[in-house]
Amino acid sequence: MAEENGEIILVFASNTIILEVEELLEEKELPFVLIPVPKEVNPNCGLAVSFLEEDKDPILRELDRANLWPQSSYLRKGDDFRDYPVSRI
Amino acid sequence: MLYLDNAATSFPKPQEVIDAITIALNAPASPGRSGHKPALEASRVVYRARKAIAKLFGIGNLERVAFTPNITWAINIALGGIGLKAYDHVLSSALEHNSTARPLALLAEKNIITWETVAPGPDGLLRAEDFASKLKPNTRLVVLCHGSNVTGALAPAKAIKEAIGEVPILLDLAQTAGAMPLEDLGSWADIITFTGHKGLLGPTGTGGLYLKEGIGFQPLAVGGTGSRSESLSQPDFLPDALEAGTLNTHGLAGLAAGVNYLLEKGLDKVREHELNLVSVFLEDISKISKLSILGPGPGILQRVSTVSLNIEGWSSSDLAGALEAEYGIMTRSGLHCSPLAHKAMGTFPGGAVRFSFGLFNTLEEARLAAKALEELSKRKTARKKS
Repeated sequence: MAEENGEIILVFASNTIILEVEELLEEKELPFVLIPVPKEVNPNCGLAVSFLEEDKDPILRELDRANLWPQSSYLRKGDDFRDYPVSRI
Repeated sequence: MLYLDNAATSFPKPQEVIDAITIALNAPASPGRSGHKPALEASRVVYRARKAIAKLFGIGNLERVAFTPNITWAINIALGGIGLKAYDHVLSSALEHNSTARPLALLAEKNIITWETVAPGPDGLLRAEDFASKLKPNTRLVVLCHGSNVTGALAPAKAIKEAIGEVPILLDLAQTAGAMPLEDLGSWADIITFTGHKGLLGPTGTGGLYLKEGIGFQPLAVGGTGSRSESLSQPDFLPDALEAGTLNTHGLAGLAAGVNYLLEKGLDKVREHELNLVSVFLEDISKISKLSILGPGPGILQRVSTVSLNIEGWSSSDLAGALEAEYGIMTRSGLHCSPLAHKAMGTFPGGAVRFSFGLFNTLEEARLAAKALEELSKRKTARKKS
C-alpha cells in the first residue's frame, strides 16, 4: 500500500508575511492554499500556508530566495501532526 | 463653493476612493482575525494599502510600515520608541506643527530631552547648514516638518540628512505626501510619518509610519493583533507591535485607492499642477499693496501649494469670514495648530489666512481667489451683517 501523501503546514510570524507569501507563490504559479492555523499545532487565530509534501522543494526555494521564512513548520497526515523542520537552501 | 483648505484635509476625494471604501464596508470581516475567506480579503485590503505606501516612498520592507489612526499618533509612537533617555538632545525645525511640538514639549518638560529648534531665514526657508551647526555630541534625533502647513516652505530634507550624518531623522510628511515624487525616501530616511487624508486623498482616520531597519520601537497601546494569541505580551515584531486593535480597514481601502490614483496619475504631474496653481496665485496677490505673504514669495519653487497671508486692516478671522460669506471661498484663519511657525514668522498670536490648493483646483480658481483678496484689500474691514 502506498504511503499517504502528507501536507506541509507553514506558520509565519505575522499576517503581513502570510500575504507576502501568498503574493509570491501566486506569482510563481506554485500550488498552495491558505488555511486557518490548525489548533493542533499553534493557538494563533490567523492563517497558515499549506501544500502537498511532494510540492515542497520549489515552494521552499522561493520562500528562501524572498527571505520569507516560517516561524514553524509541520507535516500533517490525516489527524496526525508532527514537527517538520525545513532547512534553508 | 471654492475649497482651498486642502492642507487641513483634501477635497474632493476621487471616486475610486469612495468606491473602495464602499466595497470594504460591504465585506463582513476583520483583517487578520479569522481564517475564512472574507477575513482573508480584509487582510488583503490592509496588505494592498501597505504595498501602496511602500511603493510611494520606495520602501523595501513592507513589515516596517505600520498603520495608525493619524500622523499625530505615528509621531508619538516614533518619539516614544526611539529610546530617548535623560537629557538627550533633540533638534527640530521652528516650523513644527503641534502634532510634533507638543510631544517634544512634553518630553522636555519631563526632563527626558533637551529640545532646540532651527529657525528659518526671513524668506521662510530652512537651511541644512543651520541644522549641522546646532548638532551636539548627545543629539539623538532630528525632527523635520517636510512642508510647512503655514508658509508652504519645503524643507531641504535630504540635504539636512546629509548634514547630520548618522543622527536619525524623523520626517513629518503631512503636507508633502501625495504632493510630489517621494520614492527616494526609502533609501535614506530613518523615520517617515504620514497622514492619509490630505495629499494622499484617503479618508480621515488613516496614517502611519515607516521605521528603517535598526530604528527602535515601542507601542503606545497594546492589545489584540491576531498574532501570538496565546501570549499576554504584545508581539515584538513589526508591524503587529504597533497595530494593537482592529485596523481601520475601510479607511485603509480608501487610502490605498488614493495612493494608487496618485501613482497612476504620476506624482511629477501632481507636483507640476500644484506649483502652477500656487505660482499663479502668488504672482497675482503680490500686486496687492496691503498684502503680506508669510514665507516664500513668487518665483520660489521650494514650496508646496500652501500660502498664508495677511491684509493690513483685517484680522485673519474676519478676512477668512469675508472670503467665505462673500465669495464662497473656504480658507483657514488663525494659528493652524502651529504656534511655533507663526512665532518664527512674526504672526503670533494673530495668525494668518491660509490658502491651500489641491490636485482638483484649477488655475481659474487660483485667479478667482486672488481677485477676491484684491477686492477685499480695498476695504478696511468686513461688511457689517445686515
